[in-house]
Amino acid sequence: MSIEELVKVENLRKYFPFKKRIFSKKVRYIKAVDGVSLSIKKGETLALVGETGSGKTTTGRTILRLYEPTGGKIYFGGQDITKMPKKKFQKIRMQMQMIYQDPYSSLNPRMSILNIIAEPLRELMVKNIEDRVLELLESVGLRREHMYKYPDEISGGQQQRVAIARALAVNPKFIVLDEPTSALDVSVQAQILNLLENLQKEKNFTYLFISHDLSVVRYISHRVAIMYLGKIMEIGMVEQIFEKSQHPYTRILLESIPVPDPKDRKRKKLRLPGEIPSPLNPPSGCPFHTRCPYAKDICSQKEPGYVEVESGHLVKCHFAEMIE
Amino acid sequence: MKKDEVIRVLKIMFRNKLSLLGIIIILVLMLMAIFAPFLAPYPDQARGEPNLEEKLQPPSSKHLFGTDYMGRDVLSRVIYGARISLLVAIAVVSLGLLIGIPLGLLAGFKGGVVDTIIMRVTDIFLSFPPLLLALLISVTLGRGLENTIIALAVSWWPWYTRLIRGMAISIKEKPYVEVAKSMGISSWRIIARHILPNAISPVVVQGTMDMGSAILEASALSFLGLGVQPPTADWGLMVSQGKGYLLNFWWYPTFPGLAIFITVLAFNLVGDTLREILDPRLRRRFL
Repeated sequence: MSIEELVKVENLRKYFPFKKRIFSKKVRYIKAVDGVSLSIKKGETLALVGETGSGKTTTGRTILRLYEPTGGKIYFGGQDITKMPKKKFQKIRMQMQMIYQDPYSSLNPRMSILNIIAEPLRELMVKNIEDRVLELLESVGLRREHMYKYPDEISGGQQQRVAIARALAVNPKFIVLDEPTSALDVSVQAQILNLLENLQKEKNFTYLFISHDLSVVRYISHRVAIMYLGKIMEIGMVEQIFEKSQHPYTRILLESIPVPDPKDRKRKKLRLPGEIPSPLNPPSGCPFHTRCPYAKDICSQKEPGYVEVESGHLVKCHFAEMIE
Repeated sequence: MKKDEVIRVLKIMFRNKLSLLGIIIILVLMLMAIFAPFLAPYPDQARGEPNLEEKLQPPSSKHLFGTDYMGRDVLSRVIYGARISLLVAIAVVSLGLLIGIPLGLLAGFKGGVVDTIIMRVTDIFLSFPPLLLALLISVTLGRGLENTIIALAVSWWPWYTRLIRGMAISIKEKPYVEVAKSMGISSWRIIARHILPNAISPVVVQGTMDMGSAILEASALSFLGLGVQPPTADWGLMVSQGKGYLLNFWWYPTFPGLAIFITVLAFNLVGDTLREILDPRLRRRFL
């Protein structure tokens, strides 16, 4: 494994036990993450895209071991952290932070912004805490006056900035961004995305950007992984996914991006019929065959492997390179 | 709680007529309790000295609330009774909170075996009707004010444990607790700084309401002869002693009974308003 790769995940699985009937002994599993392999280079942003229920958030949380993985391996900086004892892991865990979808619930409503950001600093025995907090606030575009406010006294965008400042306080290397902008207004979204991008350039952060919003993904990420039912369907560089996607699911997702052009309404689009199947009872063969407009017999019988259509561009489809 | 929030809550409490009434009554009772020796017209009789020449006198300008079967001024004894009642209320609720809150936080935050053990113990306590349990403990410990307080507190804490455990369970799942854990903040710190401040509101409300209930139950114990012993001036005891005189000498049990009623009502008025302010679902109305 090259040192360039900060985070590497091999065949990661996370199953949640699910008992349907009270008297049935057989435990069934929700396969939220089912064999995900990916790696993220230092200073890179990998976007994880998928519908609700595709397992993208679970993947992010399992990498941080907020959920204990059912199987597979997680490496951070070349170290296997999958089964690392809690105490030893704690030091590494500090270098991995998470930004949440709802900024309000990620801040303690009873603590002032100063205390929220100062808490990890006190733990790290930092001196001149107040100066350091101010520095951090300024680095996320806030001012001294925000220091003495409480989370419910500032806007959603400012709350998210505070959450980012707190994450910066522990000098992380890797940040999982779990839909960091989807709770915010569009105008504020752009500001937060710019902030995240500038911080990355400045401090060489590595991001895992979880989102369902492809237009945001295109803007911020270097590489994109498309998830469906706990599996990665297609992964590649941003241009490869957006310009040369080979998987029917990716195609349909791209078609569904709204275009601000009234004439566009007349264009015939590929649509996605039905809903994502239950991860409790996933379809046989290719997980996408139940909704795929190109599905053939083989799709319901055999699960496709990954085809490397270009360097670094993997597609999980029997008919990769054949779809127009 | 943050300072300006306390001020905001107080402002609303004073603006609301019913809670203002409750606050005023409680303040008056407190002043009565503190300055009882100066306010009571016959402090000696309140302490128990008999005055047999004037027994069972109806209310008059000399004895505003009349006198009891030993000729003691009922008004003076009601004023002195406020001391006992408020002491019981504050002591029982504080003891209950002191035991209940830490156990509830521990059970909710730690979960697993710790939670199971603590909650099964509280279940045992909760399986008894509260007054019956207090009665049982009272009988075991013997009579007297301290024992009444202990008996009531022992039957009281499990309610707070349950309440705060539920809050702790929901709060420990919040992202800000997850973040604190990921930053290596110790469990004690997380409990003290993140869980407790966010879990405390419903317990404050419950505690306020319970002040009234504690007075009521202490009175019930006194009424049954298990609580405070004569000649101490206690409202429950006075009602108990006066019940036989109700038909002919109505003032004797009526005034201490009214005192209990008004005090319990006052704590409930304050507690009710407090709940409406602190409950986020009802909050909007006051903003």
